[in-house]
Amino acid sequence: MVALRSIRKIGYTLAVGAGAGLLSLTGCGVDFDDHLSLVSEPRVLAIRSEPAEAKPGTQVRYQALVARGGADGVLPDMGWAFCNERKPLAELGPVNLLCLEREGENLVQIGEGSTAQGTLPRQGCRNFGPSAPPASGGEPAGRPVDPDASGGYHQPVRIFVEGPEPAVTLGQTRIVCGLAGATPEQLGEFNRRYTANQNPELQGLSVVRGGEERAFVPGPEFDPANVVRAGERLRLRASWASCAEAPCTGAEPYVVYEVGARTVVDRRESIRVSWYATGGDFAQSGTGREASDFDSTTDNIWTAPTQPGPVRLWTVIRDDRGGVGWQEFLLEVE
Amino acid sequence: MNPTSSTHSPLAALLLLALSAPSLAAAQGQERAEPASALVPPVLVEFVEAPYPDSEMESEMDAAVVLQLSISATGEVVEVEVLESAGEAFDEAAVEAARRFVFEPATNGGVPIPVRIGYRYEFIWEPLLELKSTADFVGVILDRATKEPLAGVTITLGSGDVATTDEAGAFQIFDIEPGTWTVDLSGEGIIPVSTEEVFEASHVVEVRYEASVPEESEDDEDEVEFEFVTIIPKVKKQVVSTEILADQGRRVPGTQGDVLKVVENLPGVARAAAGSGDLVVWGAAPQDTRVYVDGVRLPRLYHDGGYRSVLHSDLVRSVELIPGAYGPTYGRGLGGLVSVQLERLDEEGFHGSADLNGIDAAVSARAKLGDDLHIAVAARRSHLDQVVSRSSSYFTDEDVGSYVPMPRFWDGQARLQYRLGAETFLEVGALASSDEIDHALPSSDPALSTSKTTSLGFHRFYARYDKRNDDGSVVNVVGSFGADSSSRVERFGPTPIELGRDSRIYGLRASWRAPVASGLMMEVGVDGDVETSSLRRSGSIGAPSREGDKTVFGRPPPGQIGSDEWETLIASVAPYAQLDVGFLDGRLHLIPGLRVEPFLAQTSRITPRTGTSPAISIIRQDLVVEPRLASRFEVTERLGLKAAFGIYHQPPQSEDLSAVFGTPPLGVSRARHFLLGGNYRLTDLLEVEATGFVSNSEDLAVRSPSQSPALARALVQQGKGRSYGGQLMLRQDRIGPFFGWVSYSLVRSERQDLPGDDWRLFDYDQLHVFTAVASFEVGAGVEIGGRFRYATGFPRTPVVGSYYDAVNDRYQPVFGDQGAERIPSFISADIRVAKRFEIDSTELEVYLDLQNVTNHENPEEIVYDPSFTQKDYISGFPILPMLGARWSW
Repeated sequence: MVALRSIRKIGYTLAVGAGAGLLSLTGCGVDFDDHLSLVSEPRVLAIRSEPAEAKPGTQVRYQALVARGGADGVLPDMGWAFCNERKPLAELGPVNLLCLEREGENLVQIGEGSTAQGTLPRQGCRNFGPSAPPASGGEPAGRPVDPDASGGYHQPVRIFVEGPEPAVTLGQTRIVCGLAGATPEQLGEFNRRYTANQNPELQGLSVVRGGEERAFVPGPEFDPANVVRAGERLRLRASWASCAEAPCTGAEPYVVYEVGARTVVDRRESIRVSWYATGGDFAQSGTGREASDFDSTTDNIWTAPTQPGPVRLWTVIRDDRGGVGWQEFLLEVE
Repeated sequence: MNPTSSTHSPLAALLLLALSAPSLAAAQGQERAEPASALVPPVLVEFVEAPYPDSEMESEMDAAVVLQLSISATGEVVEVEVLESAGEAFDEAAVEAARRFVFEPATNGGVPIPVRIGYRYEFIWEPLLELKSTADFVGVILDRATKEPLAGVTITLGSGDVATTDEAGAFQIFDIEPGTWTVDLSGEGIIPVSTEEVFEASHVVEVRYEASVPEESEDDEDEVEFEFVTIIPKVKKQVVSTEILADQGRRVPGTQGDVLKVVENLPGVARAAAGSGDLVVWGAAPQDTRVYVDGVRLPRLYHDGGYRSVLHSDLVRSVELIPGAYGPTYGRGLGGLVSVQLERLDEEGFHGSADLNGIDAAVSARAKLGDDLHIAVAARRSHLDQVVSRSSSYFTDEDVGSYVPMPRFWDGQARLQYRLGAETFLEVGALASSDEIDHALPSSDPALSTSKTTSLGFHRFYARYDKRNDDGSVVNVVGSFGADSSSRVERFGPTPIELGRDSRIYGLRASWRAPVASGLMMEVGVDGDVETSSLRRSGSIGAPSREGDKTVFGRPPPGQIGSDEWETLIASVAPYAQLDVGFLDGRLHLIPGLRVEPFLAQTSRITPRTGTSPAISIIRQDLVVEPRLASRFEVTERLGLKAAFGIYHQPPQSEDLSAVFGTPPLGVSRARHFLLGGNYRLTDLLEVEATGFVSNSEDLAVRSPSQSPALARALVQQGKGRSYGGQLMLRQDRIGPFFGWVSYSLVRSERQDLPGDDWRLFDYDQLHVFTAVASFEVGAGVEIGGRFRYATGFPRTPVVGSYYDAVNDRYQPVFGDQGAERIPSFISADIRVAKRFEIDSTELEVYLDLQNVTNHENPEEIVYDPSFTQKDYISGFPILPMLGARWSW
C-alpha cells in the first residue's frame, strides 16, 4: 500500500516535470538567399547538343543558352572543348578536374562563342563508356566506365568563360556505345528496340488564371501578349509534347539495360524545367514530372517585379538522358 | 623447524690430542725421545652437517654432543664414541655425521699416525622460513557515511572459506587456495552482493569494503546495500581500460539512464556527430572498434541515432572501454574494445523495472525459478518518432520529420542461468535488436527528390559455461550463433543507392586461466569467428561515401551506377596464450601474450558478371602472428606505471569484397599499438591516470586513384593511418553522496591514402575532447548530476570554388585542401535531476535529463547554398529536456 506522503510527492514532481517533457525541436534547415533563378549578370544557363545522342566520330553542334543579365549585357568570351580525361573512381564529381582547365593535352578545342561544332572523339566509348582495354601482357583487364541511371554514357564538353572571374560550364553529348556485361542476345534486343534520344522542346509558357490559360509568346523580341502587372503573383505553366512513342520532343519512352536486373527494361523519361528571369521571384528554381507522371505540364509561381520595365524570362527543359531545350520570353511589367 | 648449522671445536680436539700424546711417546720409548713439536694434530677437511632431529624440533633448543673420534693414519674416522650425550636423537645424528668426516691425518715427525680426538658437535636451533602455498585474506567493512565498523557481516569465498566481521568490522581468512574466487557478503537483513578477488600464494589480500546504508523511512526495512571499494587494486587483465559499474553509469547526465551510453563520456572516445552513435576510439574508424557482451560479438553498441544502447541497463553489471593495446584474448580489430559484462543472476525473489520516457518504453524482469535456476528478460521499444510528430506542431510549422530522421527501434534480451555447482554456471541466452529509419524529402523538381530507408537487425543465441576449480583455475566457454541483416535504400533524384546484407555469424571462445606457480598466472584459449554473408548493392558507385571522400553535406551522389550480388565467407580461429608473471612481491607484472590467427576470406566472384559467364570465386588466406606485451609496475602503493605493445589485424569488410564496388582479393589490415602511462592514487577513492599512445595502421582499403583502374579493383589496399596523443582522467569513485570524473583527450588522427601522398586529417579526427561528469546525492532521494563537454569539431574540406553543371542544372564544388577547415567546436552542459520514492518494497525514480542547458548553438555540419557562394552551419538540438520515470521492484 502506497503511503499518502509518497503519492503527494510523486504527483508534485510529475506536475513540475510534465511541461518540460516534450522534445524541443530545431529548425535544422538553413535558409540561404537562393536566387539562382535570378539572372543579374551574363550566365550560361544550358548547353544543347545536336543531335542529343550520337556515335563517337559523329559531327555534333553545340548551342549555349547565354543569359545576358540585362538589356546592356555583353556576351562573355567563351571557348569550347571536348574533354578526354577519364575521371578516377575517387573523384565524386561528374568529370575529371582537369576538364576545368583552360588548356590541357586532353582538351580538344572546338570553337568559341555561343555555338560550336566538332567531331565526337573516337575514343569516347573507351574513355567514358564500356569499352575497357582487355587483359594483356600479364596486366588485368581495365574497368569499364559505369553508365548513369538511364544506362547512358556521355562525352563531356566544357565552356571556359573568360572574365575577371573565369567560370566553367559543363555540358555533354550522350554517346552510343555497347553494353557492359550484357549477353549478345540482350545486346541485340537493346539495339533493336532502343531509339536515340531527342532533345525535348517546350511547347509554350502560359499564365494560368481562374482556370484559363493565356500563353506568352516566345522569342527575344517583345510581344504585346507578354504584359504583366507589377508585383503580380502569377501561376506560370510550361508544357511539352505528350509522347506515346519515340522519337518525340517530350517525355520519351526508351529501353535501358538495367545493370541490377541484368535485363532490358522499358523506361520513360522524367522531365525537369528550370526557371530563370532577370527580375521577380520564382517559388521554385526547378519543377518537373517524374517518369511515372504522364502529365506534360509543370507549374511554378512567379511574382513579377514591383518596378515597371522589361523582364527577360527563360524556361529550360531537360530530360534524364541529357536532352535540353529552352524558350526565351521578353515580358513587360506595367 | 630444522637447524641450519652445527659447529665443531678445533681447540677441544687439540686438547684431547695432547692427552693422548704420552702414550705415543711411550710406544716409541725405546727409541730416542722426540721433541713435543713434531706431533701435528689431524685437520678436518670435510665437515658433514647433521640435520636437526625432527623429534627435537619442538624443543627449539640448542644442543651439544661430545664425541671421541678415532682417526686412522689415512684420515678416516674409524670409530665414534659418545662421551657426553645430548639425547639419543642428537647423539645419533652427530655420530652419523662424524662417521663421514674426512681429516688430514695427524703426523708425528711428518709420518701419518692414527689418533683419537675429542669432538664437540653442536646443534643450533633456527626457525626456517618457507613460502606459503596458500593466501590470506584480511579486511574491514565500514559504513561509508559514518566510517563506523559493521559487525556480523558474513564473508563467504568461492573456495568455501567463511568468516564473520567482529565488533571492529574486521575479518581474517587464512590459508586460501590460490585462484580467483567470488567474495559474497551476506547477513541478516542484508542484500547479498558479490565481487571477486584474486588470491596468490604467499600473498595477503587486504581490503576495505564500505557500505552505503540508505536513510531510514517508515516504509523501509533495514537493509544494507554494498558498493565495493578496495584498497588493493584488483588484478586487471588489460593495461589501459576504464570500467564503469552500471549503478554509476546510469546516473551520468545525458545518458537518460542508459548505462552503456556512458562510454561516450570516457577518455579516448571522440564525441559522435549528432544522430550518429558512432564510436571513434583513439582515432580509429567506427568499424574498427569491436563490441562484446560477455564474449559474444555484437555488430553495434547503439541504436540508430545514438539515443539508446542495444542492451537493457538492468542486465548490465559493468562496461569496460579498452581503447587499445589489449591482450591476446581479443583480436580482429584495429581499434579498441568495448566489453560489456552482464550481471550474475543470483537475486532472491522477483525483481524488475519499467521505464517510460520521451524516447522509449522499457521493461525488465528477473526471477529465481529454483534453487539453482534464474531467469532474466528485458525488452524496449522506441516511440520517439511518434512523440516528435505529435508534438512538433506546437513548436514549428515545419515538418520536422523531413529534416531530422527519427529512428524506430526495439531490442530484447533473455537469459536463463543454471548453477551446476558451487562455482559452476551454465547460461543460455538470446539478444535481439532492430532499427529502422524512413526519411523522404519530396520536391517539385524530380532531380531533387530524396528518400532514404535503412534497417539493421541482429540476433544472437549463446550458451556460456563458467567454472572455477578447486585449484583456482577458471574455465570459460561461450558459443554463439546469430544473424545480422541490414538494408539501405536511397534515391537522390534519378540516382539510386541500394545496399543489403544478410549474414550468419558463429562464434566460439574458450579459455583456461590459472595460477601455475607462485606469482605466475597463465591463460590459454581459442577465439573462433565465422561469418557468411550475402550482399547486394546497386546504384551510385560513389555512395555510400567512404572515409576520405571529398564531399559536402547534401551533395548528390555520383550519377554513375553499378550493380553486384556476391557472397563472402570470413573465418578465423585464433589460439592464444598469455602469461602474467609477477615480480617484486607482485608489484611488477609482465604480461607477454601471443595470438596466432589464420584468416580465410572467400568471395564468390572475382570479376563482375558478364553475360552468362560462370562466377569464379577467390579464397585468400592470411596467417598472422600477433605478439602482445604489457607491463604494470606499482612503484609505490599509490603510484603505478604501465606500458603495452601489440600487433593487431582486421579482415576486410564484406562490403569491400564486391567485384564492382570493391576488390575481391583484399587482405587483412594491420596496426601496431604502443602505450605508456601511469596512475596515481591521491586517496583511496581518487585516482588520476595518464596515458600516451601511438597507433600505426597500414594496408587500409581506399578508393583507387587510377584514371584507368583495373577490373574489380575499385579499392586499393595502400592506405595508412596514424593516431597519437594522450588522455588524462581524474576519477573520484563514489565517496558518500558524490562521484564523478574529469577526462581530457588530446588525439591527432591522420591518414595517408596512397604512398607519397601528404598526410591528411582523418575524417573523425577530434583534437581535443574534454568531459567533466559529477553526480551528487542531495538527500531525501534526490540526486543531481552535471556534465560538461567540449570537443573540437570534425575536419571538413572547404569549397573554394564551383562550376556550373549544365547537364544536371546544378553547381558542382571545387575543393580546397582536404580537411583544411573544421566545424566549430562543440560545447554543452547537461543536467540531470532525479528523485526516488520508496513505495512499499518498490522504488519509483522520476528524472529530468536536460541537455544543453545553456542553449548553446552547436554547429553539427557545414552546408552551402546551391551555388557554393554562401556557407552556413546546421545546428544541433537546442536545450533538450527529457523527462522519464523508472519503477523498479
